[in-house]
Parts: sequence; structure tokens; C-alpha cells
Amino acid sequence: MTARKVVNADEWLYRRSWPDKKYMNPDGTATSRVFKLRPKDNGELSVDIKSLTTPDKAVGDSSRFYLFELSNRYVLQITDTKLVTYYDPLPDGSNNAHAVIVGMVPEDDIIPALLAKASKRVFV
Amino acid sequence: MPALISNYLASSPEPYPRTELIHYWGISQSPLSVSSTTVRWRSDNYDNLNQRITKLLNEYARLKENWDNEGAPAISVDVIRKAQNLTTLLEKHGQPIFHTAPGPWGEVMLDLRNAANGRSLEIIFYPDRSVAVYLPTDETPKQDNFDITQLPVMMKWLNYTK
Repeated sequence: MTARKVVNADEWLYRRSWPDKKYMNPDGTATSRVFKLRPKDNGELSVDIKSLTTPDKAVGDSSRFYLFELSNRYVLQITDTKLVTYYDPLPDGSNNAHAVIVGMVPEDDIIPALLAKASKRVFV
Repeated sequence: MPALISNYLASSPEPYPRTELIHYWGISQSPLSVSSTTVRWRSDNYDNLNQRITKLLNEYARLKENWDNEGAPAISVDVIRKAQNLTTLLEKHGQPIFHTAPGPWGEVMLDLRNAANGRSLEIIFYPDRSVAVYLPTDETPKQDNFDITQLPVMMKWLNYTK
């Protein structure tokens, strides 16, 4: 197994919302649930690297999803918890911009809230 | 808010009576020269304060397994009940809830915010636990188990004014 490549702090990351816009905050900002690990995530939060994709590709269906962007530098500096973003292109070739944020735990609800507050909506 | 800070019991909220001018549009037996403006006590100040939240919670109660297309479980009756009860309690005491959202572990999050001091408080009901997340602007965030008996302290923190 080869070591994964760490994503540079200067990169920006995309994260897609839930498949129903009404679960977002009424002002269009992200809720903390958007950045919450899922059971199937195995501790790795999926994102896309902005410089390797486009908003249209990252959002998929803009009628159903919102797209949010986040500075990787903020991710790396957040709280005392050490988070790292790794480049993680999907093996089937369907998403070469894919990356994962590692270091979160499902029991923690602080980091998802901080990531949500630091994110900005991308209008697609 | 003082009522909530000092006593959060749902059974004894003391509404703050306000006078309010209203226009009476009903059929009147009085001559038209009599003023149609009257004054009444308004004691239902907080009714419907969190109506949007209650409506959303009712929608979340109907979410099916895999509602997020990523394997999220349905939201349990118990989780919805806890969120509804807290919503009702906060409404009785005039505390608005900014938003509520379902989550990937079958949880429901209630987001309370204070625009004046920038603080926010998330109360999250999971199927097996409940947590409170304190998000200040100028201090370190904190997470605790949610304890209903600490609600007055939480509201005091959220609505702190210098």
C-alpha cells in the first residue's frame, strides 16, 4: 500500500450538502450535519479538491444539492485536534478530485460545527 | 428570557403582558363615529415562535431509511419526541430556535443562536445520547452531555450580555 499524498494547505475544498435543500440553514449556509461523519465514512470525511474539479462536477445536481467551499488551511489549523487532508482519487476513475479529511471521530460534534461555520456556499 | 433563566418549568411560564393596538373589523352596533380602535392584553406573545421548527420536525419524523442516499437511518420516534419537547419548552419561554436538521446517525440537531453576542448552541439528540455543543466566538468551543436540568445555565450562556 502506497502512502497517501497530503493535500497542500493552500488548496480549497468542496463539500456537497444533503439531497434536500430544506435541511440547510434558512440563510443558505451549511448546518453542522453537512460536515458530520457518516457511519460508512470510516472516519474519513469526503471532499473534492477545488483546483482539480469544477463546481458543476462537484455538486452533481444543483437542483437538489448545495455546494460549500472550505479552506484546507483552516481544516489543518482547526482547534487542537489534528486533522489532515489526503488526496484520495476514486479507484474507478469517477472522481479524480476526491480527497478525505482524516482525524475526526463520530462522537465529536464540535469540528462539524466549526467546519460548517467556516464554509462558504458556492453558487452553481 | 429571564423566566427561562430563573425557572424553566413548562407549567408556569409568566408571559410578559404587552398592550397592543389592534383594529377591530367586526360588525359593530355602535355608531360609526365611535372609534374602531381598541386595546387588549396580548398574552400569547410566544405562540408560533418555533412553528417552522415544529413543522420541520414533523417532516423529519416521516423520513425513510436511506433518506440521504448514503445509508442514514430513519429518525426514531424517541428522538423526534425529545426534540419536539425541547422545542415546545423553549417556545413557552420565548427562546427562538434558528434551525433544525437531521443527521446521518439518526440524530436531530437544534441550532440556537444569539446574533447580538455571536454565540450559538447546538443541542443534538442521537438515538443513544444527547449532547450540547457551545460555540462562542472568542473562547474555545465545548461539548457536554445534554442535561435538561442545566437548560437555564445553557440559556444564560447563550443570552449572555456584557
